[in-house]
Amino acid sequence: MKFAVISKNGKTVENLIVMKPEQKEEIEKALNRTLMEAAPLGMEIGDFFNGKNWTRNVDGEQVPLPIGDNAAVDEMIALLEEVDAL
Amino acid sequence: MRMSRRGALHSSVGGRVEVAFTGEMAEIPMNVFGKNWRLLALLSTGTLSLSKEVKGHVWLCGGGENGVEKIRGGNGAKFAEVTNVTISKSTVAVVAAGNSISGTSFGDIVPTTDGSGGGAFGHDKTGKAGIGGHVSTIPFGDNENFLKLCAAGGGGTFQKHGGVGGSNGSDGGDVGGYPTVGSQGNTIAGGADGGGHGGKKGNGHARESQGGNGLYYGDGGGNAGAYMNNNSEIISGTQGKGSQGVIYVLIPDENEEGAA
Repeated sequence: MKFAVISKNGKTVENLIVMKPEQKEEIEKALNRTLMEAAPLGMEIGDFFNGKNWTRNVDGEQVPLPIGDNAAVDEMIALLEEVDAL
Repeated sequence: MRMSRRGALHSSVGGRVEVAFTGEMAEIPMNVFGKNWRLLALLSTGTLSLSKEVKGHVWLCGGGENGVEKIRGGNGAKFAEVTNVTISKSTVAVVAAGNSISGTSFGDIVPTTDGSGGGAFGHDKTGKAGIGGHVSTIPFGDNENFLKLCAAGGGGTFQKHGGVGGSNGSDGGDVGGYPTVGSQGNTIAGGADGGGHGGKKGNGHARESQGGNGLYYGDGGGNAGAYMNNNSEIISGTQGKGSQGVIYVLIPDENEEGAA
C-alpha cells in the first residue's frame, strides 16, 4: 500500500513509499516521520498542508486534494466530450 | 528462480546468516560474478535484520516518474549500485512508490544516478525529451538474472509522433514526424524493458490517448497523447503511472564468505 511520508513540520509530503499497512507504527518510529495513506487524497511529493486541507499547486493556485486525477473525474470528462461531439 | 517465504525468518544452518525483513521480501539463490549469492529483493519498506554483519552488494532504485503532461514520458527512476559494502545487522530499507524518483534508501545508500530519459511529447513547442544518466540500469551488470530497470515512458502523440522512451540509461527520443492526416497514429514505444507506452493522438476523446503505466521497478509512465479542441486548447489524456522502486541486496551464500 502507498503511504505519504510527512515532513517533520507536518506541512509537506516529502516521499511516497510502499509498505504493509500494519507496519505504520514501526516505520513511523524508524523514520521519525508521520505517515498517511496516500490513495484517498491522491497525495504526491510536494503536496502542502495549509492548516485546513492538503493542497497542490495547480497553475499557481493551491487546490485542495483530491483533484482531477482520478477515475470519477476521467469518467466525467469522457461524458462531457461525448456531449461536445454531438 | 525460487521465491522464498516473504518476510519470514530464515533458518540458520551451519553458520548460514539468518535473515529477517519486516516488509515484503523475496529471496532468490543466484550466481553473480561467478559466485553464489543470496539475492534479497526488498519489495516494500521495512527493517532488514541479519544475524551478523556481512560484505555484500546493493542495487536500488526509486519509483519511476509519471508521464509529464504535454512535455514528455516519465523518466526512469534514479538508481545506485554500491559494491563490497558492509551490511549491518539492522538496516532500515525504504522502498519508494511510483513518482518518487529518488525516494528509496537502504541505510545511507540513496539513488544518485539518473535512469533513462522520457520520450518527447509530439509538439514542437512543448515537447522535450528527458535526459538519461548514460549508465547501464541493469542491476550488477547481470543481464541474465535482471531486466533493464528504470526505463522511461514514451512521449504521447499530438501534432507529431512522440519520441520513444529511453532505455538502459539513454536519453528519450525527440519529437518525431507528422502522423498521417486524420489518423491517431500508433502508441509510442516506451523504453525496454518496461517503460510505459506513449498515448495515441486524441481524436476528440482524451480517453483514447492515455499513456501506459511502467511495467517493472523504476520504470516511467508513458505520456498521454492529446488533441486540440474547438477553442484551440490542447486536451491531454491520462498520464501513465511510474512503477515503484526496489532494493536488491546480494549477500554471500553459505560457504561463500566475502564479496567478489
